[in-house]
Amino acid sequence: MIETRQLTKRYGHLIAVNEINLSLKEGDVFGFIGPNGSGKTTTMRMIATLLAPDYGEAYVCGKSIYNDPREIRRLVGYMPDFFGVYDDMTVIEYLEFFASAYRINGPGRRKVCEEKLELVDMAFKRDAMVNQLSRGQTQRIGLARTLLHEPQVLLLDEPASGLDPRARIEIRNLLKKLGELKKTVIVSSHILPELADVCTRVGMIEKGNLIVDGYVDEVMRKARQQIMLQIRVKENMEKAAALLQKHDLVSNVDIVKGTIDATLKADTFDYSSIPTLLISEGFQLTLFREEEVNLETAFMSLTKGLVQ
Amino acid sequence: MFGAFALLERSLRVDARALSPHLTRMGLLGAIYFSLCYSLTTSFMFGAPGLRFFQGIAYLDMTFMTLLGIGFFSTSITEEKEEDTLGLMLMAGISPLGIIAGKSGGRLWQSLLLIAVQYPFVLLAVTMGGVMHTQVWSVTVALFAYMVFLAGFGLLCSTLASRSQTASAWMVLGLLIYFVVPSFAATWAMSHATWIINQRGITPPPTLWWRLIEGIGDICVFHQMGKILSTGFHETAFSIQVITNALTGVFCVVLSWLFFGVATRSPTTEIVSRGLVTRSRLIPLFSAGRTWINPFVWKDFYFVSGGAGMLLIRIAYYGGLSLLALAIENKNDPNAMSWFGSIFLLFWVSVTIDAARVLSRSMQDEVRGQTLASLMMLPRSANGIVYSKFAGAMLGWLPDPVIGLIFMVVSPAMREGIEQMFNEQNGVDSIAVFAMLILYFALIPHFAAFFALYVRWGAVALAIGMTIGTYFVLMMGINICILVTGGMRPISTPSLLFAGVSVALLCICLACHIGLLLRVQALGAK
Repeated sequence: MIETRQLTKRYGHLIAVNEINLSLKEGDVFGFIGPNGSGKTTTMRMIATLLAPDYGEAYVCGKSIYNDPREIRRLVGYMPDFFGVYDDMTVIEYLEFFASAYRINGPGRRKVCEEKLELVDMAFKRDAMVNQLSRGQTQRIGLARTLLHEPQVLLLDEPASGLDPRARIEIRNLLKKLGELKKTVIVSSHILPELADVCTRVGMIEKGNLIVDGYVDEVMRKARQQIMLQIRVKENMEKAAALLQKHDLVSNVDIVKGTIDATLKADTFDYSSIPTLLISEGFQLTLFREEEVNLETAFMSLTKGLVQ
Repeated sequence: MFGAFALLERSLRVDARALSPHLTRMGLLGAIYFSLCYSLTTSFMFGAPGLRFFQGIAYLDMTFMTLLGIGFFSTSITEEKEEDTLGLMLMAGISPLGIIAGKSGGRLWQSLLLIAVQYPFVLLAVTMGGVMHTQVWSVTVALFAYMVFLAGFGLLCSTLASRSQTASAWMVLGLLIYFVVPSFAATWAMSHATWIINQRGITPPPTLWWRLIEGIGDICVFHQMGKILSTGFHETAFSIQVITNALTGVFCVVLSWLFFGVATRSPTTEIVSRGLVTRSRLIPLFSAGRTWINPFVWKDFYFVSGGAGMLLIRIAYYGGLSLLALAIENKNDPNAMSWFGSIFLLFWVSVTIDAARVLSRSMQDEVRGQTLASLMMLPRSANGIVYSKFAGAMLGWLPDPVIGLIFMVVSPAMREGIEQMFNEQNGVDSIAVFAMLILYFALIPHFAAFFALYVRWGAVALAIGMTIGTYFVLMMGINICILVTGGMRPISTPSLLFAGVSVALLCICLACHIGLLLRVQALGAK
């Protein structure tokens, strides 16, 4: 659905995007993660045909960004991180304006606009002036505009930024719904736990380089180079820690806030002997679990915090 | 006390460091230089080159200040309100006086510098002959005072209004009153005196009312400059106009300071005005209705040029002007043709400025609202979008030229003039000049639309300034050609020269189109 080959953009000496290769299939929800200025927006704008790359190629549904930009715009819905609205229009006028610009005309146009308003839960504001909407409501209207022409591909740049928790959850649910509708979505966000929930794939970009790209569980696995176990015993915690320190599979042991954090040696995946040992030595286990690796910890372990 | 002026100090530092203000001042000096060269090259044809040079500069300054001032001074506080940064300034401990001084004082300083920088150069007019040093000094003082008035009044509008658009509208209204009321007062005073002299055969004694009405006429900078530039001017530079303008400006600053707290207490919640475009469909004529098949034409017709309501107002305004001109034309008054000419000029200047205004707004609204990226993402060509928008904006403007053309056909004096132009011996020259004039008028909207993509305010003023600059440069070229070819003969030479100028103007218009499209695409990608 989306394919980029060595996509590159330079601004003078600064390489904003450096030879990015991406390949997304239908129904993929791709979370694009990276610090500010890492090249996420530039990549999206190049795919959206708004910005010409200096080198490389990108295809959307098999169409080249060089040869078929207008066709790509028909297939893509792009919501920038910040977008303006026409302050002097009502919500329905605003949507009808864009629907007409997408050549949706006739009696069906109003129906399409109202359906999208329902989808983003904004039907109650259809006759309100656009400038009277809150930030979250404006964001949802922007999303409704992006969906008007039923795009196959959605490029959403920070759709949840500046939204309150409820609005963020609603946007997240909407993204899930879009994934279920078999749309290919690229979504960038700083709120990583939310991406983990909705994305099937993630890419981490740093200083213009795509350093990680893969399915969410693959990325988590890659991030988790060493397993850490969290253990609690009813009594004699120090003694249990000393026992674990001597174990062949354990490389390091710490006691943090009443919990033993035992880091296993690299490439150790079978640690069933550890609880067996503790129980056989008479310790009563109250907690035994593997530390959860989320997108945040994966991001921190896989990136170096470089900015340009 | 010095803390209060921290923002002013910052704005002066920014002005000193930024390149664009220096370039603007350099550009102005360039214009003065061209004007000087123009006056010198034409001095063999007309007398008093110094007076003509100085008159040109003085009236250009006044027009430029008025047009630029509307956008420049009336947005000083509203732009902070619109960006919600006023509260942050107050939270940072900057007092209302500090904000006023910083936002408006810096702009006033920049504008005064524009006038001050000209002073040594316009003194050359004295050397060239036809004007005295006192006249140059008096005009400079009059312009300074007018600038203070503009800055103060603009600041007051900006403090009281919630949005820049509203503040600019108030300022336009205020300036209309400033220019029109004194003109009427002066005209009425003069005609009343003439009537008394004719009826009673005596000069009327100066009563209080009489002096008051005369005084109203004296507060306008336009009248004051007329007085100063007339032969034998020997009055003081600190005239009624200077004193009243400067005091009004200062009074407006004080009022702004007093009302600052009240006017800026609540955030900008003003419902955006849709002008005469109603939201309800009770009066279908004034409602925007359903979007048209070409949505860009629909949007710009209703939300840029004002829709059917503004269309009616334009018809009334231009229809009224035409009827007035026709009525004057039929009067047996020796001044009738002069009045007729003034109305005709006002008509076409209004048509041009209206076109420039709607086209620049069509672009500026998209830049200010940051909506170009959304438009550029549409599956339509950038050219298609831009020209559809222009078509919508010009649709509302259409009554202006249509009424103008009808007026030219109906008016016997106009018909006669046109027939004469086509029948006379040197008719080709007249047609070439006519074509060139139309292109000059067309250049203003082109420049306005183009500059609207670069500047936040004052695109129309800049367009007028650029057109006048282009006029000077091209006319100087013509004069040099005439000098080189040894006069106006053979007959074909002027036509060729004017045709050459017309081609140059067409090329500039074309360059505006190309530049505008490239800029729109660049802004859309930002």
